[in-house]
Amino acid sequence: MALSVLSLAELVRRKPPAVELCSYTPGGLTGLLPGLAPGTITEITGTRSSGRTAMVQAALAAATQEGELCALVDGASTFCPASGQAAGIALDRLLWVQCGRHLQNALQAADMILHGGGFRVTVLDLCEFRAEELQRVPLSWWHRFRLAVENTPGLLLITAGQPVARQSATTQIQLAPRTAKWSGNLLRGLDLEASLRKPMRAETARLRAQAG
Amino acid sequence: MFACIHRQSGLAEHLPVLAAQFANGYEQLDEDTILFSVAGLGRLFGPAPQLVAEIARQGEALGVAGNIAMARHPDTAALAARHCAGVTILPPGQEGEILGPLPVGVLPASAATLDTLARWGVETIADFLALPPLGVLERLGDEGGRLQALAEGRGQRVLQLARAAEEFTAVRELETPVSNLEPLLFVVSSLLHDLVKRVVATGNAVIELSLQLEMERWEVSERTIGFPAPVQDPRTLLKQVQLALEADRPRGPVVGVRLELRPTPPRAVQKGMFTPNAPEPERLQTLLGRLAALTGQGTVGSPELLNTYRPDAWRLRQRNLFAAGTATAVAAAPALQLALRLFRPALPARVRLAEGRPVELRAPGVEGAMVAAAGPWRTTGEWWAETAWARDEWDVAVPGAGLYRIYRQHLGDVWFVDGVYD
Repeated sequence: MALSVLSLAELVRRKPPAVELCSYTPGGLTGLLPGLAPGTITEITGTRSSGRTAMVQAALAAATQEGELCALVDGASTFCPASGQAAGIALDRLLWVQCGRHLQNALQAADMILHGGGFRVTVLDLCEFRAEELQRVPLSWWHRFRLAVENTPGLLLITAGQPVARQSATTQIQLAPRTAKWSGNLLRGLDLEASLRKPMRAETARLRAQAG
Repeated sequence: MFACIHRQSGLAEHLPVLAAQFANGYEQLDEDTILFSVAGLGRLFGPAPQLVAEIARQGEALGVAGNIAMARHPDTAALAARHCAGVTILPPGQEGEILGPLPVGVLPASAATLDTLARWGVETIADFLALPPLGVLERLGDEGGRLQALAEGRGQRVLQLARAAEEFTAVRELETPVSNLEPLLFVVSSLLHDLVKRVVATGNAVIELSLQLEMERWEVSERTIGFPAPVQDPRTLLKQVQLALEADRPRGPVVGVRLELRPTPPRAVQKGMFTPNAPEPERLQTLLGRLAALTGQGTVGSPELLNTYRPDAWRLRQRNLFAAGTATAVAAAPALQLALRLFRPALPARVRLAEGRPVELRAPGVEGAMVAAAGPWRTTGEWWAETAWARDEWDVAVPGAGLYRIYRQHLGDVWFVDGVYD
């Protein structure tokens, strides 16, 4: 059945609804990325000591301090609760799922949490998995995550060594370490460089992760 | 009107049974005395004498014999039942006249009041009631007024009804042994729905579920499932049972099922307009159960740091997640804090030292010379327990590999990579 001319014109005029961004990104990154859009997948990638976990914990801290319930699917069970608390995460608002370096379990756990609903930020931590393992994950998983999270107030953050969610991710942040800051016999922090790969931006942002 | 039975002979356990034949609720004053309301029973049994005769007849059938009294005030009825032999009916307004001959010492008064009354020469209740009420109030206070009202059957009191502790247990013996989970869950489901209906009818919810499976050869397998939040939905409970049985399947064919529910008052929470959204407790409970079935018990929950300096000391709790969230602070843009990712277990490492400082690191996935090292930070504790630790920690930078925390364990003088800063 053909659509009437009026409804076609209405479809053309229709614009995507304005989305209020969550201020879950660190201060130094706001010039590059004002915030994270609810109902989307954001990937944070980089090598070891590039600040991926620091950025994820900053998002969890901001959300849990607002009283929101968040979930961390810890692919290799590497989360340090003491470090998380130092970063400002309200631990009693965080559901931590330890997957013991089992990729399939991590994907299934994230799927259950996203389809269960009610979690503001869900983090899927795949940092400790090799690139070959992650490349073997069927694309349907990421598409399924995207369908589960879109049109909800929830966010899915995926952290890994390299991009994995491909076209299902709305935002992709690439992090790289620059220099560690030492003061006498103390590690003071780490300077980072962040670039936005999706949507692509030429400029980069300089950030500093302070050591606790 | 209230009736009171004071047992003289027969079993004490039969007293509540006798009272329950005439009233839905009763108040047990002591082992031998029981009170209940007989309001409205006149239509069923006739006037008070016939009602009392019926109570006595039923008591005789149960083997209980004693005094029976009826009065408009429950305590007056109790006073008469305890101290007047046989049947005593106190019509309204005639209580003082009937109880008058009793000694004043039977009134539930303090020793000082009884002593005062004795010094005044008051011997019987009739003497006490003859005293002017205002004068009694002035001299004996509230207690004097209360005692006079009691003897005259004035005033009102609500009965403190005793409730028998109800057990929510269901047992079913299976005609043929069941080996598969599906038919077993079908049996559990029917028991569960009936029991939950009974629990909800009493205004309660379920906080714990105990399932006993009887196997062949008299083996019994028991599972107890606790819930962080009270549950009234049988489907949620059934899902938890299913997950528990899938995680730990019965070892053999099941020939009997016993299910017990522990009731608790339901959760009554009024959500605020600005309270952040959270999953429904039933859905969250199911989600936690499914996650635990997937990743294993003890791997799902909210971390809670322990009050110790021991590294990586925490425990998982699930109850926190069911509490309503409240905003603790509102930060415009969160600060970036260097995070530590721990390797569990820590990676064994070989470290080369120069002048007491580590200069080269070799561990699975991490190899290279160090360009910077901060430390050592010595930490020891709990030397009196098996959880004792003693180690020197270093923060080291390995070019191209990252920033790591390594430590030398004093016991055995061995090195480990604890985690990576990220």
